[in-house]
Amino acid sequence: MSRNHLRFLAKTVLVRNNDIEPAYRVLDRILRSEKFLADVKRHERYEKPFQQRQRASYERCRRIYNSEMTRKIEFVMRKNRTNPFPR
Amino acid sequence: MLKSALTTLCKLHGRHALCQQLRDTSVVQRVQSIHATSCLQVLDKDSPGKKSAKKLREEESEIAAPPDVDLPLQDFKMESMFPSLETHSMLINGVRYDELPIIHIKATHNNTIITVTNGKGDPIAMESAGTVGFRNARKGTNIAAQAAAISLAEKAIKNGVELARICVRGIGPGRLPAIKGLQMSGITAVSITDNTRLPFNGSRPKKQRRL
Repeated sequence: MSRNHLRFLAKTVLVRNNDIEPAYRVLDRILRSEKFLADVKRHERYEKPFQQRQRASYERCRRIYNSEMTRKIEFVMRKNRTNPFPR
Repeated sequence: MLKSALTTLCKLHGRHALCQQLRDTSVVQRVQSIHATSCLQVLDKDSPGKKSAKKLREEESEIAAPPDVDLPLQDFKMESMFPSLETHSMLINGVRYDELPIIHIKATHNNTIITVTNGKGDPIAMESAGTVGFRNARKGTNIAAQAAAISLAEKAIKNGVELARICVRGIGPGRLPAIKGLQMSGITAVSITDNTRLPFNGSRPKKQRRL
């Protein structure tokens, strides 16, 4: 991204009533969930091809495991009856 | 093969008629090889890719356009946390958003450099963890960053900077403390932007650290 490309539009949050903390948290959460910060950190040092392969494979395994696990948990937790304890 | 078949058909029926027919029935969507009329016509102008490209260009021109005189300048109001194209022409205490002074924070691992510039980007004052008296490894701490921010805010307020947009660059330890220090010493932040550089596979970085 060049310096002036969508400047003050991309990766920007507005601060309400000079409350920095929530605005910064929103920005940080977005950057973290997009794995931007991790990317920046990874680009600080050279990653050798064998490390790239290892990381890719690890990430793939993790993704598969997580998605399968959430599916299974959803299946176990599924219920088809009215809630006996409404309160 | 298709092309040769088409050309033979063309010879039989006449180019124009065939072309028109093809377009009407839309059997072949790209009839670019047959030039019945002038080829100024864009055949796939309704394709979603082209549409978005066109739209993007309009948006860009809107961004690059000089400040509109016809548009009545609105006061600053926030519908959401994120800026839109209109935000740039809004007024905050009588100043357009895109003419507000900018505070650049460069937070590296070993230092934090903070600069105030006016809306165009000309520097007004600069301060860093090193210039406020921290040396060596202590430059790269959050306390040093905060101290630098406080001493810079003093200079900035002396120069009449009270409202500012904040740009943060880098993922050093001084990232948040610097913003907090500015806020503590009386500068009102309008927005926070992340300007961290991320190469699209640029030059080869340093080799891994071995401890």
